[in-house]
Amino acid sequence: MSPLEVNSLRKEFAGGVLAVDDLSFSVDEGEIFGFLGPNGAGKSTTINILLGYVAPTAGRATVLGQDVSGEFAPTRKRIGVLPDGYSLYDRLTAREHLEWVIRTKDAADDPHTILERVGIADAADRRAGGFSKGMCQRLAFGMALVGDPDLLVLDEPSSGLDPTGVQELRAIIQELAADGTTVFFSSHVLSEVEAVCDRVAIMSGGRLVALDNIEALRDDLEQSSQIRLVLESVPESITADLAQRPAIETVALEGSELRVDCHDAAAKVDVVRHVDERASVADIISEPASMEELFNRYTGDVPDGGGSGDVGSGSGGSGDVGGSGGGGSGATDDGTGDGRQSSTEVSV
Amino acid sequence: MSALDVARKDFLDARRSKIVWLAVAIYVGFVGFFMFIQRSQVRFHDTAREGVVSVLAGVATIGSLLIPVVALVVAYLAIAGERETGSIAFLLGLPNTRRDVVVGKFLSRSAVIVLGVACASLVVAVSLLALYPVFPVGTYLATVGMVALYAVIYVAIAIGISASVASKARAAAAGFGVYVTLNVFTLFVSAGYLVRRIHVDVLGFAEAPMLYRFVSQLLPSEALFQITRTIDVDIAAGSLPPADAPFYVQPEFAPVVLCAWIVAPLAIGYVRFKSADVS
Repeated sequence: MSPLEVNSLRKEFAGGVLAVDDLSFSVDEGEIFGFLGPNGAGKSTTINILLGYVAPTAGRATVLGQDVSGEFAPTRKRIGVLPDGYSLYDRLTAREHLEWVIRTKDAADDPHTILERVGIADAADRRAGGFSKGMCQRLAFGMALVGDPDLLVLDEPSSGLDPTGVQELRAIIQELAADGTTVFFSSHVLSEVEAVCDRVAIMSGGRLVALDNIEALRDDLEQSSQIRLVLESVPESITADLAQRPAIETVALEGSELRVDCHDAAAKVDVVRHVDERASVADIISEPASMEELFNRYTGDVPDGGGSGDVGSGSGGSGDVGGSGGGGSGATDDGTGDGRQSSTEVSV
Repeated sequence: MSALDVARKDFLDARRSKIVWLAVAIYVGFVGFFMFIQRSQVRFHDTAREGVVSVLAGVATIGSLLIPVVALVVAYLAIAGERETGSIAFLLGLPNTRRDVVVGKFLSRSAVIVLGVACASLVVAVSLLALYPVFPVGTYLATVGMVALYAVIYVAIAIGISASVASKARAAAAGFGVYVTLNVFTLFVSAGYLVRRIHVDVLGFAEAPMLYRFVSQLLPSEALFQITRTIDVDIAAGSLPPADAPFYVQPEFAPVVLCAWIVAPLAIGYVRFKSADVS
């Protein structure tokens, strides 16, 4: 039995906003599952459905074998939740928060042990109203740990934490997963998920645009690299020319800086040669594409604003190059389709 | 039972709220002030007991005006406030059903307001012993019980509102609307009179006095005065309905009306909260 299963899930809010559109995936027992997507991708709505906060318009979500639309409350005994955008009870102390959770879950935990585990034992008897964001996050994480849950749902768990806090959080998550706890971990930062997750789902525009293990995503990354050229003068049709060359994925021009994503590293030499024949190059910067850029490619996001619409995306006769400026705005709707397309392309 | 866990935590939380203390303190202070200045009025009555009973009736009247405000302040944010700040994610992330939340909140805020009424009652008891010639125990207990029940009704209304809306502003607006409708508006026009005008003048039916009486007695404050008649006629002014009048205008029917005022708002709030998207 999969601890978390989602089938053809759909959520339409009043006013016709489609937050989640035909979403299906399942999480394996004991794995750390990363749930990625930019803000507004439908991540939070999906999590809210999984926790029974929001009712789906259509489809089914099953958590720990229980349909979330049914009698779901008793199942929550076995789930630890770290919500996003919460607030604590300002007038209750850290200890009182935990005592309440322990009692409600019929757990046998000791509040002090948990507070020590999340590193705020010294603030046990202080009211949460005076807590910093990081301390709130630690307490909320501690509350999620009560009762040794079978499933941990963590929505943006590192928000507000300092680097040490993030490391401690990761260590606890990995420890729990090793003990068989399933962890569902949402984030909008890929590197964060990369460090701990076994598999990653990427959401964009309410749809799933990628679902793979982290190694496969890395392989995608290795096959792709980026080169940046700073030009002294920019010849007119340079972006269009480049986009038509083989092994080139995207071309973007910002001021005098030309950014080219290539399918393989060898193509970079070709790019430099091609540009050098037509313009004088002031500087060459070559670096492997970051995980962030890969993420942006999946979600159809344009990282630096600018007029860098996806040009050509490698599909044979790419005549639609001229739209590099205006194409960006219209691309939001079918951005997911684009993302899918390029993702298959990248892995080929 | 999870509703008790909700109530316990919520009581701890509400107990530390300054605004709750302030609302309760104003009410208790007002009652104390009233008891103090009214001590000179007893001598205008035929007997001392009659005078004291009339003072206690005054305490009940103060309660009927102030208690709704106190109860609405104490309870209107119970659920809507948590929805607005987002702490509801913890409440509903635990093994609590939405019903547990509504029931638990109702229990804890009722406890808060009943404690407030108990404080005020203590002040009344102390002033009766210190400043007044007699202590009519029966009337005193009837008054205390009546005011407490009345307070719980308004907590139920406030919780019903709080469960029905998603923001503090809406909860405040709805609470204010309820107070004006049930407690301010009816000072000038009785509900029965309003229904009579519509029934006779607009719809053209024959007069139906028992219907108007019934409608008037549907208000929580009126229903409470009715119920005190069954306990102690002394503090309930006004005429009793004739003995052959229908059962629903008899004082014995008032408890049904009062229960309805507790159950209906909670039920409406629960139904709305149950199907609400909380995010």
